[in-house]
Amino acid sequence: MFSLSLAQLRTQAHRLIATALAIIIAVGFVVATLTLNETSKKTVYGALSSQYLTTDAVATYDWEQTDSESPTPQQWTQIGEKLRALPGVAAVALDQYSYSRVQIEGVPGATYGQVQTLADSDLRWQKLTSGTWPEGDGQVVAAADGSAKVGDRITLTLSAVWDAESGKETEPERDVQATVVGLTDRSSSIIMEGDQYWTTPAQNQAWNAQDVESIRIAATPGTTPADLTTEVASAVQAMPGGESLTVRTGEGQAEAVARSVSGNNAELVTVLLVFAAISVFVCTLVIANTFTVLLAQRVRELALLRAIGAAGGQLRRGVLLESFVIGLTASALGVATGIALAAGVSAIASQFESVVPLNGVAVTAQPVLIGLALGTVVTMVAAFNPARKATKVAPLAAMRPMDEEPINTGRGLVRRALGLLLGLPGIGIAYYGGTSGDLMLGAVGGMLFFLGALLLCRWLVPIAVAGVGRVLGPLGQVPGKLAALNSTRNPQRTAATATALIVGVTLCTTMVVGAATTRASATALIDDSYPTDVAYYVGDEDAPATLAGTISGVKNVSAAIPVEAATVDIGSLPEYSVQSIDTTKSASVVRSDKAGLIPEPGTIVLAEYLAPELGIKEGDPVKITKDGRSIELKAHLVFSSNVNSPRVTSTDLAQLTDQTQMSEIWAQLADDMDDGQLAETLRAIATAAADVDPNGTLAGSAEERASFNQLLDILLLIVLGLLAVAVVIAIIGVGNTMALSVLERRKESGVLRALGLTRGQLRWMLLWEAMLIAGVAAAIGVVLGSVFGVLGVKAALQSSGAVAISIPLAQVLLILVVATIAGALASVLPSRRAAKISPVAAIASA
Amino acid sequence: MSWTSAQQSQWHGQHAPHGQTQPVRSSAEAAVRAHSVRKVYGRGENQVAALRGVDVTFDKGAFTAIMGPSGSGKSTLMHVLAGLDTVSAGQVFLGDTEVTGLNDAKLTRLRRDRIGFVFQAFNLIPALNAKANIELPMTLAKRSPDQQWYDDIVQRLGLSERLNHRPTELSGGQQQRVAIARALLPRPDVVFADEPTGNLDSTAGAEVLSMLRASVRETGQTVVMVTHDPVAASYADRVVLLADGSIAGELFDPTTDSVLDALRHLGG
Repeated sequence: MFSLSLAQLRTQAHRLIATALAIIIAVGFVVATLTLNETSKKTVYGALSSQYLTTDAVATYDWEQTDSESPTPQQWTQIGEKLRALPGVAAVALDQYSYSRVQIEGVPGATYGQVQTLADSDLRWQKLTSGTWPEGDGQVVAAADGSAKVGDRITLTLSAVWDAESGKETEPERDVQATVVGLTDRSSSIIMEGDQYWTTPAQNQAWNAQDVESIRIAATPGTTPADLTTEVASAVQAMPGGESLTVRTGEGQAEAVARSVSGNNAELVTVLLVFAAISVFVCTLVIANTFTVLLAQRVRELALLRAIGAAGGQLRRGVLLESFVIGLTASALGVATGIALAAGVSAIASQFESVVPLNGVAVTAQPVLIGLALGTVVTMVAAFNPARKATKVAPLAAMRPMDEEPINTGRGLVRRALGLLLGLPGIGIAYYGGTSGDLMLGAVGGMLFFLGALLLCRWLVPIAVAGVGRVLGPLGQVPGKLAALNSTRNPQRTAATATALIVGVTLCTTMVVGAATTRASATALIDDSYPTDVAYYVGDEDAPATLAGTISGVKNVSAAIPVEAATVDIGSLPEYSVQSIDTTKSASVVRSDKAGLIPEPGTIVLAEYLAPELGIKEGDPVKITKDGRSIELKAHLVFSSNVNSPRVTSTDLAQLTDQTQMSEIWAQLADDMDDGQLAETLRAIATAAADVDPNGTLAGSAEERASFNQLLDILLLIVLGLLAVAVVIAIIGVGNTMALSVLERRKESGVLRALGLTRGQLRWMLLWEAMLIAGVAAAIGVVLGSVFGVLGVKAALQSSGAVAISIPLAQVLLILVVATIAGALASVLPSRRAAKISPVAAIASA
Repeated sequence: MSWTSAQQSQWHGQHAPHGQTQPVRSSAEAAVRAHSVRKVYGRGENQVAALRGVDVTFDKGAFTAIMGPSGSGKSTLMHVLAGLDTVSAGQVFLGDTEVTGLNDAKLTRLRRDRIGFVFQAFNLIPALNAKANIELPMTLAKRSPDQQWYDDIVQRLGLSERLNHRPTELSGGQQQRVAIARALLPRPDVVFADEPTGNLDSTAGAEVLSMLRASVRETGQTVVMVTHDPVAASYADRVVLLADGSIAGELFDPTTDSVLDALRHLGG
């Protein structure tokens, strides 16, 4: 049987291309994910181990290892000094750091960066790629992937320093200047986020670097790291603050940090593997389909083998052997593809500052073996059922003239019952979960319903395809009518082909609808919290009064008003800042105020959390006092995060004081801007304001909407990209089914050609058939996906406010059209082959 | 009509026992003509000549059988005559139309409008019921069938009760009768039948052949049938004998015995 199986594979290779492609893509996805994970681990560990290469022992505060408080800066310094005196210690480095606002001269904007202490000689692990090491004051080296270059002048804004005990400010915030004298290599900063700078210990002390990352110790010659570590560990125990420290060897520390970094990646890997699993599932459907048809074509041959004495089991083993070889070969290609993909992603990611540190590609045995095993097992499992059925063939079948293909109408009552049993309660649970905001219930219900729906597919899809085909048939003329009939000739295959596509389309639509609903709901939430498009928080007390004018002069800004603030006593709360709103002007910038965030005359808008402190309820009177004068206003309580400070009308405040200063600027933007224009306008406002008020910040619904939309769009794009893999495999499945249908109906195509069907009509017939299957599958997927999307968001967001259902019709229709056209495209090659069939085939192969 | 009693059971041709010459049948019009048709498969050393210069004419309104041993080229001749296959050299005419040299689209239209087929394996479209199968060529041509003619055919072929059945629900004989109805409905210039009884038992076979002959007798339909069965051939008005890709003779108003006799001569 072995040689026969191999001969089959050789002669049928071209029929297996699509199957192999599906396996390659699915396995490639899995292997790429796993390999990237390994690569990330190795990159992190590589960077860390070079960091601790010369370090023999490390003392750190590891909160997972102790319940005690970390040492104070003073204690850290003392511990460092004492360790220096220990025998066996050659050098000690105190790794101090601080965070500062960093502004590079000539580069607009500022970032936050970490300034760290550069250890002396032996314990210095950074590698210089250009420039020199910092020597004296005001010199730093920067990490290569930051924005600084050698020779850049930078301004560091050092944070104010408070005394830990008294809570008094000992040093105010101040700016210092520094020069970048060198750049380190990339591995020096690979696991850190944000810009990195290093300077000498003395300079960093002067820059208020007080926080300590670790104390690193080098051993004298002859002292092993282990001995040193033991010695240091017992020594620090006796020191003040030292009992909370964990002491590890350099190598041990590298591993410990690597573990914690990889732990964060594990979640990402899990998410990616879920998508990979979807692809594998779709792939399984496609493979099972292919084998069913391949074997159906070989019924006669299998029967002949039975007739000349092959046992059913032998045939089955032969078929499984075939699937094993295909699975293994395609998986091997998939593994190679996956590794190549991972290498590509890594190469691209290393150009940018990516969330996951990547460098090169690490090929380990685990992903390779998993990929090979997965692909092979999936193929064999998918082939098993078709193999079992096909090898039940009676030996006599070989003796009879080839009948018309058997039409398996498979009643599948069990399947139908199971589908209903899972699906009906599933949708109920999902609906309940959705309306009650229970994400767990929603997810469980959704999965049950989806499983049920997939089980029902085999029953419903052929009915749907036949129905749609009958309705649309006249459009496709005679070939269209034939196509509609053909598409339901093998209901089982049609259903399996469609199911693969339904999975992909459902998930894509779920994401698109979910994102749109989230967007609509979030937009409503944002609009409720900000009555204006833009709220600009003035940064400096002495910002010019013309700022509102500056902002209203920006293109696409239709109006801007200043909002003043004064310090008053509110009931029992002394010296409280309140904003005064000029209600005559505010009408020009307020879009809607459902939440009542704009005060009416005689009222004060207060955050809810102030109510208990003031001992008031909604509508109670509140007394506002300033310089002995006071007025009474009615309290209006609003959701706490919606107001920064209490608000009163300017006329009410004017009764108390005229001593106000500008606190915010509210602006309204032009209507109907797209996301790009919006972002541009916001940038322009920020730039214009920064010229006169560099410390101001931008907020407001437009800003929040823009940044939220951007985040959502990126997430959606990534998720759709990952799901697209499943859709591509499903489309390959459609092409595959069409190709096999063409082979199967070779003779019939010949007859139709002999009877007068033109080549074009034959191609049209197959195109129509593919579009029917793909279109119906996409339509089912789109409907299921819309339901899932809405229920999913409802379940997830119900607790944080009302959910505004939004189904983006254009996008959903696009999915439907794209899937249908993709299905049609998938039939192009098979239909070309079919059109080449000579009419003689109808008679010759009788 | 070419099948007059005068020529009954006459055997003409190179192997003819009595050496008579072929009678002149000027009264007949040609439905299909082949002129010096050659058909070669393969290239170089693998070259096989299936037809080596065939000249033959099939008269209108006649039932002609093409016979010959396996490999004699009878199927190839039929494919070439019906525009299903191209020729290597020579010409084929359907009436006044030269079939050789037509492009695929024109050939397709020619087959659709002017030629009917009956196959050994019936070749009904499994997805369509009997009625739809019968009407298929007309539907493809976007012509509506002549209702009276349709009813007439369906009744003669005894299919009235079977029109809503799928091919799988019909017996072999019934399927072949559906195929004949399909071939006759567009009133083609000629019906080509390729071993129409090959897959049938003798009773069903006899029925099918009677119906083909009846269509010739009663409606003047031209039928060309390829067969290797002398009994089937005996239903024809004329038998054309083929051997090694050439015309080896012909026989008018054949009987089973005369056909067997002629075939024996071919073999010998």
